[in-house]
Amino acid sequence: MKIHLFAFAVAAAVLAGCATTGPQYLTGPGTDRPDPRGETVLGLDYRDFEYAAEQAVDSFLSSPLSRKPGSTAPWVMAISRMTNDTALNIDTDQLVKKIRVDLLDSGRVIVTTAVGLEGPEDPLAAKTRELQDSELFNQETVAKDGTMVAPELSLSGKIIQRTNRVGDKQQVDYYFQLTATNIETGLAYWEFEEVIAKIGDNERFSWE
Amino acid sequence: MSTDTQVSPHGRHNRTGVRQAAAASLAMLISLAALTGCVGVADVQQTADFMEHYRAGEFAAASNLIGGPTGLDYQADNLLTSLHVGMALRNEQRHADARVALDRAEGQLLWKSDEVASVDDVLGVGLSLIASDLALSYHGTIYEGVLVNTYKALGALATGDADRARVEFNRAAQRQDNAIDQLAVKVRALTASEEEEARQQHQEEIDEAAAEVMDPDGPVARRLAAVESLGEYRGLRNPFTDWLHGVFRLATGEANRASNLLRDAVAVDGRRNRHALADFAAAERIAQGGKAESDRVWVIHEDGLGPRLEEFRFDIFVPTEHGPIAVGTALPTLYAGTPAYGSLTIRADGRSTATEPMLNLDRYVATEFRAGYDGVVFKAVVAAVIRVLVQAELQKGSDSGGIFGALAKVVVPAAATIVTQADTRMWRALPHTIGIASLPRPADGILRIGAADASAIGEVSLPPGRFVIVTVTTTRRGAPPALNTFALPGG
Repeated sequence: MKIHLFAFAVAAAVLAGCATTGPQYLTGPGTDRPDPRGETVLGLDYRDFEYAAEQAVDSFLSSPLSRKPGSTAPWVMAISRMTNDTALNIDTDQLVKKIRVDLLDSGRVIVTTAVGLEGPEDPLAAKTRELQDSELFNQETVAKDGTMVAPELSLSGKIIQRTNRVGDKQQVDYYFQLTATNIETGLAYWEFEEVIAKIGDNERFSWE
Repeated sequence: MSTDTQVSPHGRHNRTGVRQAAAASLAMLISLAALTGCVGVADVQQTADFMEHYRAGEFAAASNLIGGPTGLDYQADNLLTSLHVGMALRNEQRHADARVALDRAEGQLLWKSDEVASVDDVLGVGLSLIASDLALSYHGTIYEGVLVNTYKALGALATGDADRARVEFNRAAQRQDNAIDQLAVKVRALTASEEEEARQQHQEEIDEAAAEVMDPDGPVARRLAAVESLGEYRGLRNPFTDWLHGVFRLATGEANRASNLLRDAVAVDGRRNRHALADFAAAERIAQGGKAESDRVWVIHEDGLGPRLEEFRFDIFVPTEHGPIAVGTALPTLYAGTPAYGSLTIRADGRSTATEPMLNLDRYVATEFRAGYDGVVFKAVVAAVIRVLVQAELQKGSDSGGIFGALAKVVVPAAATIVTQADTRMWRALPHTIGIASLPRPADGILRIGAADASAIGEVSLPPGRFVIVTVTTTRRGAPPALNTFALPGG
């Protein structure tokens, strides 16, 4: 019976090995252990962004500094530079948006859209101040000067890609790095790194 | 009971069917040969027409010739066209259009072994017995892939898109890292042929013919020696791409990465280019905590026109039962490019400096050409031997008359026309050399650029920014130069 079970296990392993020919996740860089997430693409897809964002939010929320010292109010966070240092044409907003949603849901962070590196994400908040002189609008409903809240934290990050040849395969490691900086002090209150490693044949580049 | 008496109307129908199938196959081969043969021949003619304008510095006329007023109105899946149009548009400073053309080019680059092999799947064994590479769509080279991403990065920088430039530089870097493995795969793909069965059947004749072709005193060996004299870049590594990527990282404050890239560039260059050495030293200093780089201007000079392929013809003697038969064959041979001025002098703040070469396209192209040439020659020999022997077989069939014989008389000469034309396609709109200069930003923001023969190229007023790139393209002496100036991020 044990022999039968062993034979079945070997056959299942062989079949499982043969059945998957596409790129696979690894449990981490420098390992050859396949990850249960199974088949993927050599580039990055929505699952990778969701996974990295979930890990980032979990990490942030488990940090003691995710709660504002001496206050129950949420942090006000601005989104800073998010650098795509890969060979893929990706939109880093895919990552950031998921993080923003989860942080907002946690009640510990609110993101300001009135301040951004390349200008406000939503310029209308500032633009509506122009209505202060308009007779068309009920002035009690027009946003007053001095009411906007300045950001206390700045979120910046980088996605880095490293590609190495492993025999006739290529291993592609993506490093998701994020930092939350206290704007008042310039100190990094939270640092995060998650690596997504993939291995696949060497017949195409990761961006093809 | 003899078989003759067994022939039934059904049997006659089968024989007729076989003949009709053979005739249909031959007809298909003629059609395919005619259609696909035009692909390469049309590319060669279009390139010649394009280069008439391009070498004269008439970039708008060059792009218009192929792509009409938009520059992009051409068959988008034609790689060679995209490469040429992309260069003309970039010299016209139509960077958005150039990006479209070079994106199209990148999408068509085939360089991996499985993709090269898949071409056989498309055309099938029948045609590949008689056709040359000219019958296939142009699928590019490894060095062209690196340069496509390099030029796309330059284009992105010219439009102020540092994020996209970073992606393109990363792609170019990955292509560079992969080039040596890729070259090995390419050489294997060139030597492997789809007509393996026929090749094994005629191995003796092939070996005999190949030995004669590779005679050290023969025309093939002489041309090969000329190519070898152009030199090579070890690992098919392009130092200009590394240098440009390095200065980009220097400008964006990534001194460690800049230092690694510039180290690669100066190593491949043999530490000859003093400007690159100075940039490397600056990156090293900053990476070790030294003072940040002062405001800087980098001048990139793309000079002359790069190497070209031309056809040369010779006879391959195929041993047959009736004695050796001479088969006229054509192979591509690489000729060095032509410089325009060689270098530029740059006067700024009362001081003068000159560009120094960072990439020699003759040497770069020759590295890949030479590596695959034995395979190309061998393939030509195999094709010649098989063609002679297949022709002999078909000739026997044609003696008996009928549709098959008549078609054989047509298809063999038609196929021979294709097989005896060499594939001379390549990206011709590349410079002969790329030189660089690295200098402090002048206080007045003015560069006076002249050619090595003292003729004036132009006066450049630098845009604001801590780091500025000036590109100058001179295709030939007297042709109007193309100048472009833009600030790098980090300023």
